Amino acid sequence: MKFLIGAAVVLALGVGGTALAYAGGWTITGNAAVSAKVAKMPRGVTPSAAEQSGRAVVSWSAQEITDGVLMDHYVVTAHSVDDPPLPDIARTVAASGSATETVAFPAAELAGGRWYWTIAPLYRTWTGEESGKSQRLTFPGSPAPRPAGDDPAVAPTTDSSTPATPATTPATTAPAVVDTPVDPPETTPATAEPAPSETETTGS
Amino acid sequence: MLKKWWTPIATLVMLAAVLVVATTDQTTVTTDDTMVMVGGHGRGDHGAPLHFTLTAKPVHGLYPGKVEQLRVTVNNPTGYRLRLQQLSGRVTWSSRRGCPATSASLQVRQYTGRLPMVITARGRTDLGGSLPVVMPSGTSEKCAGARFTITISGMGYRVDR
Repeated sequence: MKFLIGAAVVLALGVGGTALAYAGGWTITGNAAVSAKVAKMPRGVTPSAAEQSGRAVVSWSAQEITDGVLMDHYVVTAHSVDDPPLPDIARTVAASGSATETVAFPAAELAGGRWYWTIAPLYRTWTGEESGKSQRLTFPGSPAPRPAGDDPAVAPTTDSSTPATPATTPATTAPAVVDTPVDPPETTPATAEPAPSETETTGS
Repeated sequence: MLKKWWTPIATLVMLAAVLVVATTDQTTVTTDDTMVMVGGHGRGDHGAPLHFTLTAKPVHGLYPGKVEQLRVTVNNPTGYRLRLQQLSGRVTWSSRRGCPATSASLQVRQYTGRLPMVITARGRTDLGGSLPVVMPSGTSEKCAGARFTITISGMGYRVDR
């Protein structure tokens, strides 16, 4: 009986080993690795702000998430530098696809305050870091009451010389005054930044 | 008496174990610029290595909604024809804790080309298909700037002359 068991085990091992050797000589497998890098969201380029026809016109160079792929939106925010400061005015702007993006803020929104602007690029759900500060503009008058949650999405204009008319009719106010920027302009835009349309500065 | 019978059995078991170890010689080489896959099972009849290598360029500039085609080249250094039967990839590592190496962050889809594919002895073939690498539109913002590792697996057979 022991002899039969032993013979069976030897036979099984022999057959199994032969099969394994046969298969091992024919099958070739392996693993490897390759890296895949994800693009970074760039910081917003510092916009330029200028008063045109009683409105604030904000312009900046379009940005790309990677070569040839433009951002799809931008968040443009007006920040008050008054004391106490007025609430920020933020707008999500759909990208136009042009090299330069422009949006206008009506004077009625800005009256009675001094403002600077920043932008942040958006791609799908991703947001880039906020840009440096634009020039300051001062809009005389009394601050207009603003409804809560005012964050209208507006379409940008594609030509800084002819900005789109904003949804709100601008109030008739005195021309704005341009301040010197608090921070120096950013120097890391993807393309050349639009030059400020006004160079006159005041101490106000 | 029992000891007598088990001696040849134990010897055979050891030989089988040695055979298994000898036929599972796999090496993986990874660099930042190239992907190299080496899979092998010992050596052929004339001492030539029985392995094939795969190479592909790394992927750059991924963003939500982007599809990159990972093209693969097969190099068969053996003296036998190789029939590549399977080719697949999966994401196995991420550099960001908030951006896990899962299909929510990055996906590698099925090989798009025709298989099996026969590669001539000592031949090199750029595969006609590719492995699509897809970043879903809803990928987390935490994946911006991340780096992934894609592990590619291949399996083939030696074809007799």
